[in-house]
Amino acid sequence: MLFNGNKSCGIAKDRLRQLILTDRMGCSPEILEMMKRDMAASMTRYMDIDKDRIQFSIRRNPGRFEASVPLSEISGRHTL
Amino acid sequence: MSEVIVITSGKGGVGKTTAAANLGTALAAADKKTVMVDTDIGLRNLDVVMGLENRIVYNLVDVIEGNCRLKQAMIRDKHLSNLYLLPAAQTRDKSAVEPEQMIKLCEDLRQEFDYILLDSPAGIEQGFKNAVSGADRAIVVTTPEVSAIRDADRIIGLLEAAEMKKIHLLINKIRPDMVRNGDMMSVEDVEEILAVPLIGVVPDDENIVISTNRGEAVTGKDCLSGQAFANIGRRIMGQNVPFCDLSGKKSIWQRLFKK
Repeated sequence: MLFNGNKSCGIAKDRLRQLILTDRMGCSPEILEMMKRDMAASMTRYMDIDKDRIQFSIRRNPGRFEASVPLSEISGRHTL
Repeated sequence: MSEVIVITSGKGGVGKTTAAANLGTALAAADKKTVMVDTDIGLRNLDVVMGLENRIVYNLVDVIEGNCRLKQAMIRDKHLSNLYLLPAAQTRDKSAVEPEQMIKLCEDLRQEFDYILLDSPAGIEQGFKNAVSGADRAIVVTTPEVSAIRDADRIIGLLEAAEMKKIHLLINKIRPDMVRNGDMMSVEDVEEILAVPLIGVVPDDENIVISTNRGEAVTGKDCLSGQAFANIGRRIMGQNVPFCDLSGKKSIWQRLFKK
């Protein structure tokens, strides 16, 4: 999770994003962690990623699951 | 063309009934024939907020069961001649009404009124389903707090699953001072998380408690919440009313002027 500072508002936003994600997906935080690990394990075969900072989000209408996978420091410097 | 609007939230206590009462007042004050329907059977409150609790003879369940005609159950507002209340029953529960019956009631109300506001109960059970079934559009009320926003998100999901085409957000009880200090989520924060268009923002206002004590709406009174509800009424009617800057960066006079 991103660090939004000490203010309670930042903490609330982080918690809400997580809560809403699990509510919308209808699964537990543990399952989301398992998905992240599986995704990281699969992607590291093809590219260098920062596997600890994978973020999920889910949009409504139309329903869409999005994964945001930061590239690791090293691979980010290469141009494709 | 009449419009049936359900005012819902999920979480209790965020201001649905206050919103229904004040938006009803705003629309009626703009010469729209308006009825507010309290669908919270067993825990009615719209009558109390409007100061009409002593005028109830018949209620929503009486109408649906055919114990009386619709006109007999409707109570005219004390101040505005084109504002009516259809109160809920107090000694029954939500199972007394089925969605099909609400749909029929709303069709009957459309013949007579420009706007029909359905004050939904809290929760996601029968009462909510009844209130949603007859509606063309929904206003989801939330406060800038974790549990309210979480419940609002669930409600929005259920409304979309029920194919509600127009869903808008009303953020209630915002405290610009707390937002400035980082102790409360801002309008932008809430909008970003819930991702439905905003219909209005109502600041936390002592005048709401005072007005409810008296059984009056704040709309039309010279206070921030009254102004906010009046603006939301205009937006419901399709007018383009810019949102006020509640960030607190401007002076109080500039804020009032922009409203």
